[in-house]
Amino acid sequence: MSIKRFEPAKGVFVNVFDTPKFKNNYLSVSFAQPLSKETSSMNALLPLILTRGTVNYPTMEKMSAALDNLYASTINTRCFKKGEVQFIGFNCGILSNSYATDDCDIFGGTLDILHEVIFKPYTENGVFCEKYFETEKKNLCDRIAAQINNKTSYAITRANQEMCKEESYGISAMGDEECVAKIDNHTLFEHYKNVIDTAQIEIFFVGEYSDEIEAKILGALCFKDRSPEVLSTSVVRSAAAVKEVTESQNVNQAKLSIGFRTGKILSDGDYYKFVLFNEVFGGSPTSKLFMNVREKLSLCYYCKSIPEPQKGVMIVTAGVEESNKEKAQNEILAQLNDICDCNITDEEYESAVQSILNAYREIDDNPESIESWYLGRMLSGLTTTPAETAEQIKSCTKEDVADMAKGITLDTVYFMKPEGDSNE
Amino acid sequence: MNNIIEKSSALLREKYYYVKHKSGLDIYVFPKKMASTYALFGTKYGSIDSRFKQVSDEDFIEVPAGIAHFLEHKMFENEDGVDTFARFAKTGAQANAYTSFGITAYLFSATDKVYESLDILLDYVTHPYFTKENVDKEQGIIAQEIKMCEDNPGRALSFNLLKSMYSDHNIRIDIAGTVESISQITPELLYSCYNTFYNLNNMALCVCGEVDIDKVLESADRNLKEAEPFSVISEAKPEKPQVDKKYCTCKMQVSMPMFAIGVKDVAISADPIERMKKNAAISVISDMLFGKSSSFYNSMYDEGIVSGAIDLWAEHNKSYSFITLSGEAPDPDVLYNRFLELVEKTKVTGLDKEEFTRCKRVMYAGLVKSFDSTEEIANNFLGYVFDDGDILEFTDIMGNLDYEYTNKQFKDMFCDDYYTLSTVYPVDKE
Repeated sequence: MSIKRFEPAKGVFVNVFDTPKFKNNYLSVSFAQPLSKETSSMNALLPLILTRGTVNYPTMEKMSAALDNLYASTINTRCFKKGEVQFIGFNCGILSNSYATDDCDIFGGTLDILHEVIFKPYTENGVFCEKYFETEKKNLCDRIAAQINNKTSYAITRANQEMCKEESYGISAMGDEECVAKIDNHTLFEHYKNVIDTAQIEIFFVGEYSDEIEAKILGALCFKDRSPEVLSTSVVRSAAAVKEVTESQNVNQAKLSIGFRTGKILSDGDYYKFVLFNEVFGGSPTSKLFMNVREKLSLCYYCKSIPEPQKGVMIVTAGVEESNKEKAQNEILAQLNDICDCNITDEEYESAVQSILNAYREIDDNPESIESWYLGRMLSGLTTTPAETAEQIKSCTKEDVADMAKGITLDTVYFMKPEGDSNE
Repeated sequence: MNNIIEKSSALLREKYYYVKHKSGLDIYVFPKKMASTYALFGTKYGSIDSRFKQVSDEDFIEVPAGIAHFLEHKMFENEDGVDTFARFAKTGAQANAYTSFGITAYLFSATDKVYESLDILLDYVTHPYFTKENVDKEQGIIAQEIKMCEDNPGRALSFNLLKSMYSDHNIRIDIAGTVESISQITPELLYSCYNTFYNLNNMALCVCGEVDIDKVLESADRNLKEAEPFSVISEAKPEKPQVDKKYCTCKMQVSMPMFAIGVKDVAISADPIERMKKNAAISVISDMLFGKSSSFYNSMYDEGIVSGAIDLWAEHNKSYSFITLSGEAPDPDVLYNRFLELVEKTKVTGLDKEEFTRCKRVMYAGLVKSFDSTEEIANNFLGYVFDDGDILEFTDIMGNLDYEYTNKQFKDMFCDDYYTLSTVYPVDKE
């Protein structure tokens, strides 16, 4: 796989991963902006409205049918955050032209539609079609409200929110219902024009590349020069007092989510040591959390640690019996202390190393993993490849892992417990 | 010594090798130039096999709900006390397993030391080790898995749907069982299930990646002993064409009502070719009627009757067949009535020919796209193999699917008595 990154216009970046191994081309366009309370809801709403209709495909039905005829090309909307940077945009799965059973230019056709989605929205009286605007506002509110449906991820989100209440990171990339409700069509349309003209643009292509493909990408995604806002994330290196938050929900199983400040972020340069720490601690089925909290004490079905490399936070999460909360929490903290004391067996250490090396080699098999890896590096000013990072992992020692553990501080304990007596 | 059969598809530009190994195991090697090799070792045994016997036995054995899934967990335990995950950790392979209605499968993905990992896979799945102690320990873990699932509204929605659709079929049994049913599981029962179904003649191995078939066969030679002939009867109760219940509902903590409509089908052919054909037809039918390009979906979305996407699930295999559509809707009854209207109208007009062509193209593209991941290939592959089908043959069958056949399937399958609606309402809504 050969890699190149270039800047066809100022503030617009194209990342190309040229590989013959996929039958499907992957193309994404992301608009990267600082995560803020003022704009996050409007940003979240934009991709939803833009895919409702364009000048030439004024309805979703017409656009879907056109994409179907392009061998089921997909244009999916996206909205996520990395650290305190919000990304919105689209990603496309486009069958390679060589699999067309006729002379259809699948790539060119899909790019034409993507161009329309981004630059030629269906408008009425100089703003978004009022009906689409109202429907998508409502749908976004529904989606925000629907986060409660998945208790496992909801408990993780809530822990992050509580831990970073006073920081931008506490803002949801989906926005919040109150802000969404206040958005008016005119303001949103102005915001749209502003995003198109000023946000940092990151384009990713994974597939078989050629001059022809490049010309189509640059032709369809013709963004002009811009001076985007700096994309940065504020980091709290260590926690002050421990916050405890308990909520009751109508559930059978209680959820424990423990938030930590890790003291380490990707741009520090030696974040790979933290990656290794995390694998030993709670990143795999041979990690200390899995082997002890689950296998030895049978307290839960899942118990894992989820770090955020830009923000320097980590959530340890487990689904437990309400009565086992203290036991689980104590065991999680005890396992962390164990690593601080460098109580790591050769087997635990080697398993973690091998598991990471395997995961790094697998990145090349999945376009979205490739994209996620390099978007993260981009934010941290790095260009290291998974293979280079794998070499750094090999150079680590148990002491490095213990050092990482020593830099971690407990910030917030979030507990979701069943309402009243769950037996009736 | 081994007779290697090669099969290929010019359209997909893919091929695989098949060997009937002397142990009795069917081995499939699917060459694919990817960093990651994915191996899947499965048995035709799942949650629906709850009453069974050897042909020579007089009586059926009935086992507690959830035992196939429990057994899957317990296969990770070994006599020497070394956990299977720890064995795989030495090669860096990522290991896992799953249990479905009709399949239990053990898998790993690896980018290095593939044959060492394969040795581990073939070894641990053929060496059960169940004790009172390790069974007791697992009950706590699985009880938490069950409780986690009980809090998942999507799961409640689809299990309630299956229970409403079927009166007697074992698909009604929850894959993980209940906290009560798994408490009845003993090492003896586990051995009984294991010895019955984990017979190499009832199993298959699929390895997808940049691998050498000879080395895969060497690993099989090293690890597998010739199995006894497989002669087991798993009781399949006859199922009436009508749904058991037209409607079922429950309340959970959700933001908006959820709906799932099921269309039950009991017309299942004994001929695997016909099953693949019908499978293709019902996928096209559900996409045409309810897919994201359908006028039905777009109207429902525009009118605010459905919020977000409608998820489609079309299944057709020798044990069960149905189409389901599910999603979120402010008032599921309104959506259900519109579903009925659409179906009645389409029965009069017949399926649209242009849409038929388009949906076939979508299906072809989806199939080609599924060959970009060794994980997806191996899992799809095993699904077809265990239904006596073949994924490459399916491609041709799908390509040749004709309108008249599809339209007839639609008319036969869509009938009032075959529909059921499952809903989940928010707790605070009366």
